[in-house]
Amino acid sequence: MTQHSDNTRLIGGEKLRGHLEVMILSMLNQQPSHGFELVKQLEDRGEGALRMREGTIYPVLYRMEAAGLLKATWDETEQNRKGPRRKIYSLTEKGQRQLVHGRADWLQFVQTIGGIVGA
Amino acid sequence: MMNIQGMNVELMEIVEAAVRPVLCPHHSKMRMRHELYRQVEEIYKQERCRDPDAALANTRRRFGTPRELSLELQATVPSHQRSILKSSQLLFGQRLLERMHGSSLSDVIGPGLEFGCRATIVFGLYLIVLIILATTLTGNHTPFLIIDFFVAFVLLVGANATLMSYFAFLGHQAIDPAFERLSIRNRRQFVIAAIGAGVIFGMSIELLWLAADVQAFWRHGLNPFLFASAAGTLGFSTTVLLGSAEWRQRYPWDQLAVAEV
Repeated sequence: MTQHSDNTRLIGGEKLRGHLEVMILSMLNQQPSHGFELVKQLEDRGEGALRMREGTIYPVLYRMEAAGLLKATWDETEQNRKGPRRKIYSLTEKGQRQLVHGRADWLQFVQTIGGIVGA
Repeated sequence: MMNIQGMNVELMEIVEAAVRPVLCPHHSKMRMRHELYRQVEEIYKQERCRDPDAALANTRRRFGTPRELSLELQATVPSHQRSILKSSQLLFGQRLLERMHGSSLSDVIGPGLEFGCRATIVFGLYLIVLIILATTLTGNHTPFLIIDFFVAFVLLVGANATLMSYFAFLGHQAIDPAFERLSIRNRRQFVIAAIGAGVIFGMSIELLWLAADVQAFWRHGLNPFLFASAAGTLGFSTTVLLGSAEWRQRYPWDQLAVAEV
């Protein structure tokens, strides 16, 4: 962890990576989104404490898509754009089931570890 | 800043440094390039509003280290796709694939010969395995009696592979890759390459026929040659034109000078 200027501890690297999938599932469950928007939401909702290299979200998205948790479609609003278009990611049924499991696992983790650590 | 097909070259370079080393199918690579480009573009827009002078450096920092990103992207490519791509590199030779879009025919003479040798070896081994299997399973040793024919066949495949790689190079050279839509800049060269490839194919079929059945060969005259040449010309043109779509998509990215990571 790195000390942030306002004394908020930044969460990055492996600590963030371990929970990234379930956070992505949770955000996409509320609204389909593209990669840049997801990173922005992560930063906003993490209130500045989450830190990630922004390109690294794509390998995670590709892995989740290959696992059938997400589906990606071309952004139709950009049809007339010159240059590359972006993909909009949304949850599949399998992704929704995975989110339910992920939330349950997270709650159990917090209760168990919190009980020991004394949070 | 310079632009290619609506994209900023300096931003493309940031993306390409991470994507180029990834071994994956063409469509996956193009998707990575496009999505990551959009990401970099959005970051750059934000950074330019904050500090125009440091915008590019800050974009690089926020985007991440190319090497780390390459490794993470590579990990998303299924192992069977990697194996297929490595096998095709082994067969065609990486040099031929890299130089297929070079500037002059001399660029591909060596790699084309190398490809011919590889094709001869691979096809020869394949035939040996088939003959051994067939004779072992059936007890019929006829294939060994016509081994001369098989040797001629294998050598012909090698010669064809070499010559076809040269014609493919000429065919590709006749197409302008800088346009998103198909544009043939040198129609005459394309027609010569297509007919040349067709004639080589027709001659190969004739030679095989001559080796297999001399009497039937003379009875049919030039008809099989003409038919095979026409089919070869058509097949070659279709393959090169379809293949050029991939090349045209890749072209703006291939032009970037990106340091190996």
